Amino acid sequence: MDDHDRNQVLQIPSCVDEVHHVQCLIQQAMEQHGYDDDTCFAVKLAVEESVINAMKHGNKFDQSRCVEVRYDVGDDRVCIHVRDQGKGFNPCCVPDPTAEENLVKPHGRGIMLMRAYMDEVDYADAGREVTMVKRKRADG
Amino acid sequence: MNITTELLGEATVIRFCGAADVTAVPDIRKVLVDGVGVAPCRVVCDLSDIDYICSDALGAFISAHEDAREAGGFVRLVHPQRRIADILATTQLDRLFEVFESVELALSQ
Repeated sequence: MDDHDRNQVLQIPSCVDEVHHVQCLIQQAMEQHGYDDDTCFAVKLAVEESVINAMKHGNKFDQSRCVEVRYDVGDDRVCIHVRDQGKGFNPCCVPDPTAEENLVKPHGRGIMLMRAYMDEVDYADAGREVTMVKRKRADG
Repeated sequence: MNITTELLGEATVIRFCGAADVTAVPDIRKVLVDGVGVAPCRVVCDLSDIDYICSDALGAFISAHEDAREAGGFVRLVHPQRRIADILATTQLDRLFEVFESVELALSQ
């Protein structure tokens, strides 16, 4: 394994077309490190949700603001940091999308999916940065 | 993502193929709006060939579902793959949508 999977930093504009590139880089690294398909899928989803949140809610799709993605793919875990340049928010105040009154709302499921599909999801810097960890399964 | 639409009787059957990621959402939204816009607003979405779905794409289906319901119609889902079904269960959207094993079953009820 080369070092291209360890502690990589990407600065991407707040444009949704950039998401796929980030996903591909991380997916390639995970495949090379032998992560199973379900784990790769989980990380792919969490990356999209977190990066889109950073672009949309953090940076308001302001093309002058960047999203920083730092990732580290190791033999036993994947660690991803996503940071925006927005005003921040309180992740504890996000409504529960499974509540009856929220079920029919078209938005608000991104963080829920991140928490469901990653092993660890932690916010810092007033919500501007999220750190996510996914561990390799013992059987793959 | 590849999307095809077919009129079967009074229903619009929309077949999706590929990844329902954020870049596909505008197309997904448009085809659903078009489908719900055809009276009597009965839309069947074949998800059997979707291998990925993001929350924004889910939002497009939810909006269409609500628009159809207000018009007295429906948006039904068909045969999601395991990972898509898991996402529907995780988000509890399986409480909102009727999910069928086949297009024929979705049309017959």
